[in-house]
Amino acid sequence: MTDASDDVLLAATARGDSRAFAVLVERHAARVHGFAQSVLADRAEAEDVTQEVFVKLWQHADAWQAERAKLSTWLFRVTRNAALNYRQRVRPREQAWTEHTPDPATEALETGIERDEDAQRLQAAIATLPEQQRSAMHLVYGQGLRQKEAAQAMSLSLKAFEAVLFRARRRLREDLTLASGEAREDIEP
Amino acid sequence: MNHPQLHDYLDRYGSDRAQWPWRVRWQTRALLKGDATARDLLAEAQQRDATLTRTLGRTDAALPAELRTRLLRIPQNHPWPAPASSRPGAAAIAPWVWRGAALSGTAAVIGFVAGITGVLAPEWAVDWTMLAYGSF
Repeated sequence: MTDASDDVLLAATARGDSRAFAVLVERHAARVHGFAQSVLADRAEAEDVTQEVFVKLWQHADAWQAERAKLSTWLFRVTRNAALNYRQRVRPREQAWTEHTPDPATEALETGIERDEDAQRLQAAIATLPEQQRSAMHLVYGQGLRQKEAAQAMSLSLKAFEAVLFRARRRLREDLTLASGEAREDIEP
Repeated sequence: MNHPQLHDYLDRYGSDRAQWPWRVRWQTRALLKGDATARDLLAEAQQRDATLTRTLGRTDAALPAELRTRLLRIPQNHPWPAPASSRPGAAAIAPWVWRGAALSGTAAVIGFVAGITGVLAPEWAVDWTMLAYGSF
């Protein structure tokens, strides 16, 4: 069963097969969780959202239409919507997600993951991007989705998605150039 | 040199030149061949993209064990099929059933109207009426 395609597993899940559902969890949960974490910047909240997404998958497997989209694309779309709803529900008064202080577990994880300076600078720059641009970067660079799939996952037209990605890249480049310039000034007497 | 056009292409299409439109690749070929600054810009963007892939790709490296357990328990903890998940009424019926029903309904209405018209105004009645008014 572990070799079966997503469509076959979904059809089995729609018949109430919990083993097929377990294979889908093993196959997709880490990516869903990673993406939720990138939108929310909070590990615990990302776990709740991941659970919400898989509950939806379990309960709506019977409505799945294989010809309309890839499961991974659908999962990313549902994850993003669930994460944005969650943020609105749980932290409605928060103005920007960057103001949210990550919990110590997240910080520890991030510190463990990011050791080199470039990656740290890059991660800091990504954190300042608006949510839409950040999600676009995560889908393309983090999840390896093609632009067409990523556009579908974000419910955008391809043209609109390209524009979002263009703005994100430009802003990252400008921020990093600025940061490296400041770093150079600090070093030079 | 600053190369704003090259910056624009890198921001728009990324640093993988294989993904660039052939027109852009053609336009930038000479520039990248002859200008060391332009080559540096491309190399810098490629390095940035590689770091991005490495950095963002690692966030989903491991699923927390506790979350995995929670997810695997969903079938036990959540009803199946969920009352809200089953598509009620129209959506649950296959399209060919709807098309058949619509066709039968239309045929029935046409038949009914034709029948009524035949009873109320048979051909001989129309002929006599027209004769009476001198239409023939």
